[in-house]
Amino acid sequence: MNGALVSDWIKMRKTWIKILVILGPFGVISLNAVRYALNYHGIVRPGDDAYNWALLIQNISHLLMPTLMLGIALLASLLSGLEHQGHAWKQLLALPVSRVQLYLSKFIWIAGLLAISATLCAVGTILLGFAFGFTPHVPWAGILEECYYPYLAAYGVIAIQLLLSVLVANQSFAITLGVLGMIISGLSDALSPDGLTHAGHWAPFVPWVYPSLSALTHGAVQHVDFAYVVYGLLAGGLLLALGTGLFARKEVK
Amino acid sequence: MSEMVIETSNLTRRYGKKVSVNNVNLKVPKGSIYGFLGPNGAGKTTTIRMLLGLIRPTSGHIRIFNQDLSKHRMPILRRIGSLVESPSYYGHLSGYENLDVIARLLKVPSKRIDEVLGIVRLTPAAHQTVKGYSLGMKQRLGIAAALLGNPDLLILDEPTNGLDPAGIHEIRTLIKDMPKQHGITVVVSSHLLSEIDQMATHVGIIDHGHLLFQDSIEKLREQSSPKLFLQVDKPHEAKRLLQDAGFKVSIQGDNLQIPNSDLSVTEEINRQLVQAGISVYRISEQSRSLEDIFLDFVDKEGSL
Repeated sequence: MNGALVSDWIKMRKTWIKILVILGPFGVISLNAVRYALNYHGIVRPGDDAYNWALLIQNISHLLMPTLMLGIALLASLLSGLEHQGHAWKQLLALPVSRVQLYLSKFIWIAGLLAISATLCAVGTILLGFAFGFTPHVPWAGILEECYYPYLAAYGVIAIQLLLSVLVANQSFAITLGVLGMIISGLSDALSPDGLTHAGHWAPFVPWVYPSLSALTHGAVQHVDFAYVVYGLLAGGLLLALGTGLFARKEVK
Repeated sequence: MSEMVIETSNLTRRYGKKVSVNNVNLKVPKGSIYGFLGPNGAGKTTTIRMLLGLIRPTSGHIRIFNQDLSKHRMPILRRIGSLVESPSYYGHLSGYENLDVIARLLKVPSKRIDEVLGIVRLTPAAHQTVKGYSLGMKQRLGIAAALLGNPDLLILDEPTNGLDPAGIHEIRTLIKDMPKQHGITVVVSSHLLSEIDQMATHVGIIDHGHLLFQDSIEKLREQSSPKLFLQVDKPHEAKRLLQDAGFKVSIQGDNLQIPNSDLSVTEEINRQLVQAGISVYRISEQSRSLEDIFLDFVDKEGSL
């Protein structure tokens, strides 16, 4: 397994992938920084830090969802594209290396890189809050939930994007699905707290809405739902098993 | 019979209705350079992909190193180095890094990377990105990658495809050295007979999925029976005359060609032509080239 992980690292070391991992959270944080800088008095309620922190979390969360969905599609596509581009699959799969390991390595890298992005996002949220002077009561749990819940809830989407990127050489398919996923993920964002209770009926069957439903903020009130994290991890595990199985049987043209 | 490294029995692969490989029984002896020959689309690559476990046979069995490939894929692949068709590479990485990617997977020491780079003479270009390599260099890098794991069997699919003469020569020299210097058995496929002729010790000819011939290259050469060529002043008249007399005659340019050069036949033909008043300028015997034999084999299948 180590061999596969190191070998994937050598492949991506000199690519955009590393930069993308930083660029995602940087974009989310810096766009919010600009927004607050331009309209500080319209957004911030002086003296009500609990509200200020919650609103900051909400604002960041709204940008984080589409970024996360798109980031997953791009990472999966870039990692698989490396192999498709140079016709490397046939060389790789004729080696005495288990196909399961090769596939898992890609998944672990995507999940690992996104964990870094999620962490950067949490750090950025805190720094941004401090920069705006919301000091006394940092809602640590809220910030961690805002960044890590959607990330964990997105494991199903990671597995779907990886599978499509690996099986279909033409990456426009995977990217198209990624963009569609991003739009679907935003649908639940538009739901009112009332709508949320209704979402309970259909949402468990749509992995793309897990991230936003796992940590949703409305009117500076956080609605955290750990169930969607569990759904995400379950879907991720199942779809990863399915993907590994398909990849292991894949015929190499 | 010497020990076989690869043995397939009734190996068959279908794509829908099309049978790409049809009941092929390959026998590759240890220490040989086995030339796997056939026109484009004959089933060479499909066969090689099955040998490497990249695709599954529809029916039939593959034994490599006396082990069943379907049951012992990993230990068998451990001893095989391969290069399948177009070169596989990561363009944004250097030649060295490309090999490093594979070395990590095979768990071979990085010292081995320098060794194989030396064998394929890529040491000076080791740290350039592969994007900038010529096709010949990419192909050599592919061979280096195939050699990384110290294989006992090297399977090279069209390694000289698209190379210039110098590149072809270089690859050929490399391949010829393998059994001698490294004790490696080599299977090399090509659609060019001249290629195989210059390096192979054994030949298998495949067309339309059927293995048409398989033996040592000497056996193939034995089949190159000589033909008789006649230069006469009235070739068409002469042809008619000889055909009436029961000879198999064909016209090639200004020459008559007869697929038999026995002394008695030569004498008989000459006498008949002269008696009929046709001037015979020249009678010569020509051995058939391997090229002709190859085309004969392939022609029987109704291709080209």
